[in-house]
Amino acid sequence: MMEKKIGFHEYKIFVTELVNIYDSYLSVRGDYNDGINIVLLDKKIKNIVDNIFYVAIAGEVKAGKSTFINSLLREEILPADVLQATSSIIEVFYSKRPFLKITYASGRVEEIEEESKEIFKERLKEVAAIPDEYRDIPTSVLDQWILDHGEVPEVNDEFIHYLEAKSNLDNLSSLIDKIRSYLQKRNLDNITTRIELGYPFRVGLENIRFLDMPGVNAVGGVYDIAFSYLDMANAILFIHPIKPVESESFKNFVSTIIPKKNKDMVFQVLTHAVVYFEEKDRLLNEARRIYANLIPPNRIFAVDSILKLIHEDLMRGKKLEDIKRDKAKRKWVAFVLDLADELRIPPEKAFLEFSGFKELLPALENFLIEAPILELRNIAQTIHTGYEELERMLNEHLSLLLVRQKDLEKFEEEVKQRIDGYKRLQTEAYFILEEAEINFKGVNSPFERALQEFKSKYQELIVNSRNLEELRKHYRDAEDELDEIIGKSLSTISGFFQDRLKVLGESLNKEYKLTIPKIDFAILEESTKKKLKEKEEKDALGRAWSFLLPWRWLKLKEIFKFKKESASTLEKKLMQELKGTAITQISNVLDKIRDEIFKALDYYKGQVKQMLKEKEAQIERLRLEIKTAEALELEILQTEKKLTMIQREKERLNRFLENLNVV
Amino acid sequence: MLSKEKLEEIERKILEDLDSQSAVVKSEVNFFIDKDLNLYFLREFIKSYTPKLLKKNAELLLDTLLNYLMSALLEVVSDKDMSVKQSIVQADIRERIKAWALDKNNAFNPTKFMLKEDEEILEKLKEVAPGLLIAMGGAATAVIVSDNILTKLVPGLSTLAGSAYVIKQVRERVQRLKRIWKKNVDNYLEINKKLLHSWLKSIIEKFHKDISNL
Repeated sequence: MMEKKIGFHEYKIFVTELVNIYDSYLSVRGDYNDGINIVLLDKKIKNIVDNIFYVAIAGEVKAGKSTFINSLLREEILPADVLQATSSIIEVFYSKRPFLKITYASGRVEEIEEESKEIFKERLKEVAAIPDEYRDIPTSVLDQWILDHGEVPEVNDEFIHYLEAKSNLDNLSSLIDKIRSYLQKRNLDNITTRIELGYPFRVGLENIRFLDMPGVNAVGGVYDIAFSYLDMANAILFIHPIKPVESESFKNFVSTIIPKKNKDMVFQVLTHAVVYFEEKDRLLNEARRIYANLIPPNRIFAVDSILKLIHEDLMRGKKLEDIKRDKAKRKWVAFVLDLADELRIPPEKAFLEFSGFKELLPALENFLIEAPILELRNIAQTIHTGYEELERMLNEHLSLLLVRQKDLEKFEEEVKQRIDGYKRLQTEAYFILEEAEINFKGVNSPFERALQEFKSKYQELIVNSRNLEELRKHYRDAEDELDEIIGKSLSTISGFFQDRLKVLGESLNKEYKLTIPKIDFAILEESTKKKLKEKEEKDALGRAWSFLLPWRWLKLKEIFKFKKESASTLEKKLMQELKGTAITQISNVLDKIRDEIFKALDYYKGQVKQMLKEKEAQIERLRLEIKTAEALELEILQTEKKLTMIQREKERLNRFLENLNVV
Repeated sequence: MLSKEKLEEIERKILEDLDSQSAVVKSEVNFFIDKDLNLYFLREFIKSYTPKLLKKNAELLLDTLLNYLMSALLEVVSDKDMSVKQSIVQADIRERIKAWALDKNNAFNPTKFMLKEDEEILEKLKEVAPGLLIAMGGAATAVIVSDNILTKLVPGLSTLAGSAYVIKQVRERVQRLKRIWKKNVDNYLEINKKLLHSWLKSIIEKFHKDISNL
């Protein structure tokens, strides 16, 4: 649990320190096997160093998303007050070299480099916005059709019915000419699929990638392309005007659109706070009460992006007179100056003070680094465990060397004792492996029961889904629940091996002075989990999930031929097809997961067997190695030196962990 | 090393597991048959899913049986001296028996699953709107049938009463077909349960024989 709130700056210092600690550990450790999986630990360090935080900004159309992002970026670079096209998710991030890269559905890539932010802004306006004259027609559905079929549809009554059903809009037949005119201008070569904007923003944003999402619709739905982005986000900020505070779209967004695992990442940001300055606190409290069952109150904020932008202007040295020339800002400059005067706040501080960003930004930073801080702690603790194991091994080795130096006969006796201990270790380890099979396999194992329960639950939910949204939600929940089952099963297996080997190790040490090498089960568990997750996504669930994307299922031959039917008939046929696929995929996934868990169990067993072999070889080496007195003395000296180094490094690590613990 | 009573007790336990597993398969397959799913999908799904489920269950039951046998064996040798335990370690019984049980000469293979085919009704259903399928499940009172479909189904019929009659006929025929499918599944599971029983019994015998030779 964090006690002191820290930001990106402090976090980076911790990362640098840990990298140094890790480098020292590698050099001290050398070729010793202390049970730590260096390949995996190395990957973890690399991930921490390269970590990118994804912050998705979602919200209703015209809620002020772009202005909000601009105020976060401290640059007015995204065009505000335009209707963002559905397929246009803009990824904004720090880059030394300013560039705008636009990828179109046809595969064409357009790249604008080293230009001013005004040029980028203008181009973004052209490609990502829906022209004003088409705001009343469902342009997103029309674009989606072109993306699905690779061609422009024929606009007839059937198609209009389809559009009405898909967009929840009525009377589209009266806009048929406008629809035709829009379609005449659209093709795969001007529908964007990815927009990336890199810009040398001011310090502090190097590790963040903002995802500017298109507006959610009135029922909180997002178009399919947005799902993959929401999935990868580390935080999701839902922007909504502060008044009216009640938002159906937000409720739906959190309860049906966001998968369970991402719910803990949602922030609600109420914008235009200064417009309702007098009521701000009341509205904020009301929001916290209304959404209490959706998100915790400390993740709801009231902000005003315009005030933050004015503050940034002032920080850049812009005069208030010049700022006032901007129509959107003029009124608020006067308002805040008045207020500042009344409340005796220095004018240069007032804009930030009333913008609400002083509360939001630290909370967001702290939230984003909470998980990586935990990871830093885990890595530090793993290194600590490695040092302790090294220390134990070296001490055992040193004591044998000292015995050998003094009394060769006694040394041979001690080696023999260890060989007897090894025989017992071999037998006991076999019993542990058998116990593992008994505990984790078969119809009565907790894992099998969990899978069976999972299957019955989701078969029922999927078959009884009433619409695509519901089906999609159940499918995503199934993914999350499966992750939980995998996680729980793996940690039970790890825990089992860890406990049994610990007890065995203690008993062997007492009886035979034999130490058994540690196996880093925590890191094994994590990497297995990751592998399983990838398998789950790539092999089975992911494939089925992509089947649920409309542009995929519309392409299916069996379904395609029904496209001339009414929208409701089409939906029903699609639902039946999708349910069938979802059921089959869930069953396939379960078989794969079961196989993979068993493979993981075998892998764990393999590690135990490997450990036995290593121990056998070590004892054998000890017995056969002939050493001169000088060589023996040198080895004793080197071992003692290494032990001192370990002691020093452990102290450094402890200081690091102490500092991290007060965070 | 294991007494006759112990082996009989294990056989009883694994039979109970077999019973409950078969019941789970049956209820799972019947659950799908009862639902308003695309009939084509349903037919293909049941045809492939039922034997697959059975095969998977056979593997699970094999693990379960080996668990019972190994537990009993380890209990017997727990107080024996190190050399006895070592001989068990060397023999690697579980792996040996498992390999034998899954060898192509000894493995359990479900019989071929035959499901009653009714292409005619499936062809008709393919043309009928899904609303009709809901009606077939008895869940809806109103159904949607497009004009051209009716024309294909019953040329000459143009009144609503006529179409309602056709819908009723088709619905009854589908329900009849589903009842037959359930019986097909039942028979199939019963036959394979017997085969599974003898397979599991042969594994117990093999285990007993192998450990007696240790």
